[in-house]
Amino acid sequence: MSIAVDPGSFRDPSGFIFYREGTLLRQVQPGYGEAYDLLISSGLYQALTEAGLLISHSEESVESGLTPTAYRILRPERIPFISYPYEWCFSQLRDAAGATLQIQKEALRCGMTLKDATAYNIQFREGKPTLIDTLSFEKYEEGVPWIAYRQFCQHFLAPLALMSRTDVRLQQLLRIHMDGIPLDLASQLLPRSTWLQPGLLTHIHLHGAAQKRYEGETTARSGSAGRVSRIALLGLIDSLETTVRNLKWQPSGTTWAEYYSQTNYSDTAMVGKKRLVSDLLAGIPEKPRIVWDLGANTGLFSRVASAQGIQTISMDIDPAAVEKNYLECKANGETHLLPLLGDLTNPSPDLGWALRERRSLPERGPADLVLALALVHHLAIGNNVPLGHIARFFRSLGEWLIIEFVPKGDSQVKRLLATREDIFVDYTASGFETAFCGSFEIVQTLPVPDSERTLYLLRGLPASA
Amino acid sequence: MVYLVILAVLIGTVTPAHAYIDAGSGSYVLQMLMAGLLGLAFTIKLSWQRLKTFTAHLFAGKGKTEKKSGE
Repeated sequence: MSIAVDPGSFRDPSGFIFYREGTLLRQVQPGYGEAYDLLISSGLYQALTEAGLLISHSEESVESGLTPTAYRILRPERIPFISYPYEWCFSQLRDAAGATLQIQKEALRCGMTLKDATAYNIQFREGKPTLIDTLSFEKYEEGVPWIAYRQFCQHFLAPLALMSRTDVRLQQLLRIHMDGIPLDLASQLLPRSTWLQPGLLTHIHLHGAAQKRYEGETTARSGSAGRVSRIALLGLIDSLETTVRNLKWQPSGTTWAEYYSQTNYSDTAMVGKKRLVSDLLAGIPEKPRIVWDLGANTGLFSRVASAQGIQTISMDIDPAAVEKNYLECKANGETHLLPLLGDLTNPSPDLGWALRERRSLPERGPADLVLALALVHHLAIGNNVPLGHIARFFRSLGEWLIIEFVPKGDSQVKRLLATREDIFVDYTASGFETAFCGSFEIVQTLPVPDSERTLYLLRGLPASA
Repeated sequence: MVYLVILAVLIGTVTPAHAYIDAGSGSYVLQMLMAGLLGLAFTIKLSWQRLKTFTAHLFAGKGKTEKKSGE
């Protein structure tokens, strides 16, 4: 029988995640029993799951627990793809922050409070941010400050403020600071004008200063020296909500609507290419359950898959493209598409304690199908990656691959080569096929009309090959 | 700016309670210091919203009555 504890589930003694025969289960420890019962009896669980703010679960027999001491064994609904806040666009992080505050308000209404507010507890389920940690609640005691206030500010407010007011790329600080961006660092990086905004002044600048001032000093969690009344706590949540809501980000120097209209294709060619991708998708004997569209831009071709009800990850390196993609998903209520930020030349690595807390991009696979359209030239010429290396990496991500070869005669490749020496002697259609046939077999090829490009449907050779 | 000065003075002068050492002591202290202000601001906001809702209902009700009486 295969049993494995999730290596990232160790911080909170309330319980942990483990896998039994591949089934994801959550063990609730006896010490959390009272809080778990309150979550159910207070109506909080029902209210949050009905609102789509908390992952639902069923209860299994306690005999299926990892240890005989288990208080409850929960079987949560599975999320098709776990993503991390450093892979979200601005609006995704902002929506996740909003959901966390909404959950906290609902918890207070039911006599409970969030005991943590980590962004890693939020996942996108059917396009919406959802709390996946059922054990994040504890009984609210009147007068006690919000224990997760600092974590909320470090995980959500600081990165959002930096993305909005300094530079959107500073979100990547989340990759190196596992418990969110330190507030003194955020305070230093934010422009001076943010000292004049009450929300950022309080929750970032003064908060950072207070942390420094009282670092290592003692304070009672429920002491009488200072109390935070319920109305003050609601005021704090309201202030955080207003601050988050007022943070905006839009790519500068671009006309939003036309940001990605400058491509190498006419509208007709785009429609034609979509049809070709759809035809190749139909050529896969078993309908893929999960597709990763890499270099997805604003997700035009991702939607060929997601429109068929396939869970699709739509990944791009450009924060503006991912933002536009996500806003379109929201506007259309799309439930099968998840836009994510990712640099394929430096994909999300394994991170955290023992490098097991946050998993790398390939570790979260495999995908049933990888889409790599108008991408190979960026990797091979833009980043000097040999074609064979690209083939092996794509093979590690999934069995099926739809890939577009963009030859040197194409205007996009000419542009890449305009300012550098052409050292890419193997970058030809035959060189491409030779390199990829080391890892895949060619199932079908289709020329892209009105261009020199070719689309390939490839099937991975067995792993030992 | 007054807001900034008041807070700066409070943070500089208030001594934290003596108890368990917590890395988030600063976050607790800030919440305690801000409690009065946050509570007041939130109460005013709620009262204002209630007043607006009440006024809106009042006028809506009046409008309906007028409409009814005109029928």
